[in-house]
Parts: sequence; structure tokens; C-alpha cells
Amino acid sequence: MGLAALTLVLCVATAATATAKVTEMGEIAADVRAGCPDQCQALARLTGYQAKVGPDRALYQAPADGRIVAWTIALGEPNTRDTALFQKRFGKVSQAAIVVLDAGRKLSRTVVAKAPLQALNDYFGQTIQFPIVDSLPIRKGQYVALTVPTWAPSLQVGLGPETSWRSSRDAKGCLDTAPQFALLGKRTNALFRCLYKGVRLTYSATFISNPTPNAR
Amino acid sequence: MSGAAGVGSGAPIRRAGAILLTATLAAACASPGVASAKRSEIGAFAGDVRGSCPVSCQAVTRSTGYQAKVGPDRDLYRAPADGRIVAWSIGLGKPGPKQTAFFEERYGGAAQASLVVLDPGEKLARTVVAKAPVQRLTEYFGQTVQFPLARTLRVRKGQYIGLTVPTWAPALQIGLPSDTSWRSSRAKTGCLDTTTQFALLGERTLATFHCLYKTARLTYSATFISSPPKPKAT
Repeated sequence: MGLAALTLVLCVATAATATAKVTEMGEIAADVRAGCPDQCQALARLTGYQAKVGPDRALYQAPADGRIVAWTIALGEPNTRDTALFQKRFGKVSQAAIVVLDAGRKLSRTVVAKAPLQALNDYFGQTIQFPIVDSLPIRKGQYVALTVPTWAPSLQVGLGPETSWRSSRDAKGCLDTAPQFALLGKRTNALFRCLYKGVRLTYSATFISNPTPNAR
Repeated sequence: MSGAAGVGSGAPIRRAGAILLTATLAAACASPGVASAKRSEIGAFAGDVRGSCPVSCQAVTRSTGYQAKVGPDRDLYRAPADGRIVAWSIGLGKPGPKQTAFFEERYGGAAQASLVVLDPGEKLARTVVAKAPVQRLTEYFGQTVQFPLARTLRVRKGQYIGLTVPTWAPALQIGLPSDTSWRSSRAKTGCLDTTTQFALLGERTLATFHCLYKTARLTYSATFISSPPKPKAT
């Protein structure tokens, strides 16, 4: 073999340590999908993140420093009539992107990294994963959220009250779907005071932690 | 507050203080649960697989290589579909200080490697079409370490994932059966020439991978995510 071989043989075994690993932040079970067409609801014109799933409050917070290399969304399949009505109100193309939110005081959140928007119409009814060309740096404790400038059928409804998500909507207009509250362009900060119980946003993010050098 | 605060297409319904706009039309059947695109590890190796150092310490030097076979499997390091490489892993041996000094003195300094995507041509010709930044490895000896890529690498179905080592890397598992083998970018007449620089670096992107080394495995892998299927034409 064309190998550089060293004849020194040491009797010490190498400690088998593994560093960095791939995890799915907010992993969604294979059968989880948004309510459409049966109970058809959609996210519209906002940025949101899942605050709790059952007792777990940290499902969408980075467990360590690392990178988001892909994201996944489980899309409902709105029927023709639902689609037409969503399009009329919120735009022809269903769109979303994953963003990284830095946590400030009192539910203040700032976008510090974002993936390109993806058109979703062609993937309705699927759980679809998008690899990211320029992966997103993320620090321990930062949130992964979903930005929806138009609309997206990615809400699982009818869950227990301990499951909840938060949005970037104004506190006085948590149910106001008309204004644009998505964190887009130069608008990077919002207070996420609006809390919605019994619902899950059907997205997740593929996270890889940064490698950890050996201790010196 | 209760409710989704999402929007539906149907008439507003007030429930528990929240407006839920739900579609009144329920479809006759549920959506098929189709999953598109998925993550896999190209060249996945067991957690205890690592370069041979410090016992029988060997290293890959100054070349680009790829694993041609692992047992009967010839496609372990070929992309199964179009997609992107989002990270790579390397199972590093842990050379002792004397071994490290030996390699550093002969092969240009600190251990380094990077992942490359090789497009196959005719008769073992391979061309680098994408490459990750070179990583210094010294700090990770003894680990299986994974490097996420800031800029992920595009890969097409059938292309190979290779390892470029401009200096040296303790990333060889040895003493395996003869149906496990790897190939290198070294010249056909110098398959055992460890000192000449054969790594595909800079503007040097093409080599013929004639040199075949049996019973050894390069201990690297790549995290692959397939591209979502192209939207149907409307």
C-alpha cells in the first residue's frame, strides 16, 4: 500500500470519542402533517416559532453552537377552493423560510440568520426537506423559527393546551391576519408576545454542532 | 389565548375567545404522507472505526483518495441522487508525540484534510467539481469529528466523495479483507511514492485514479441531503 507507515507501536488504545452530531431540532413524526384539507388553516404573514411541545420548552432552541444545514416542513394539502381563497387573501405563491432568532429581553427576538424563501405550492401534501446552500450559523439557546411572508399550510391543530407557538404579530393584533408581520428585509426584530395554544407549527431544522477540540 | 391564529379559507368561527377561520369543506380522504428528500451518511462507518494510530500507525499523505469498495459494496461513496453535502466526518487515530513529529517533519506540517466531490470520467479519470475548506485535524486526534459546512457542496447522482490530504492524516483503518480498497490520485508509476504532492489542490483538479490499495479503509464520510424533487411543470 502507498502508505506512510511508522514502525513505532504503542500499547495504548485510543479513546473512542465522537464529537459533533446531526440532530433534528423540533423533529416531527412521520405522520404529522398540517390540518389541510380536513381542518384547513394556514400561517399567514408572520414569523413564528414553536414555544412548547408538551412539557418541552427547548425543542426549537439550539443545544450548542453549530449550523443549520437544512430544514423540513410537513405541508397539508389544501383543496382547490381553500387554495384559491388563501391565494386571494395572501398571495398566489405559498412561501416560507427558516430563520435563526436571537433571544433578547421580554420576548424580544432578532433575526440573525435566514435561509432563502422557498415556494411551497408544488410540495403540498408532502414532508419536504430543503438543504441550505449557505448554512446558517446558530449559537446555543437561539431559536429556529419559520418566516411566512404569504401563507403556508403548516399548522397541526387540535392539540393539548401545553403545546403552543408564538408569533411576531403585534400584541394588540394577535388574530389580525391582514398586516404583514413577517420579519423580512430590514425588519429583523419583534416582540413575540402572541401565544397560540393547542397548535403546532410543522417544521424542523437539521442542526450540526461545531466540533470540539481535544482538551490541551 | 387559545387557537391556532392561523387562517382558514372558510367562514370565521369564534371559539374560546379566538377567531379560527376554518375551512368547512372536509376532504373525503386524508393526504398521502409522502416524504421527499432525506438525509443519509455517504460512507457511514461504525462508531468504533478510526485511523489505526497509535498502534500500527499509518497515515494518508499528499494525495486525494476515495474508498472504492467496502466488502462487496462499490457505491458506498457515490451520491445516490442529486443533492448537497452539508457536513463531513473523519475517524481520526491518535498518533503519539513521536509519530506526530515524524509525519509533520516529512509531510509538510500539521495534519489537514478536506472533502471533495469528484466527477467520474473515462477510465478512472476524476475531476474535482466541489470542495470544502481544508481543516486542520491535530486538535481532534482520537475523535470521530464532524465538520458542518458553511457553504454546502452540490453533488450529482453518481459522483464520488473523496478526501484530499495536502499534508497527512491519520485516517486509515488497516488489516481489512482484500475486498475493501481505496484509490488515490497518485501517478500510476508512483503508487507508493508518499513524498510527491498528488493532492488535487488549487488549479489541479483532474487525476487518473489508477492506484488501488487493498485491505485498507479511509475513515471518512459525508452527510448528504437529496434535493427536493423538481416541481411538476404546470
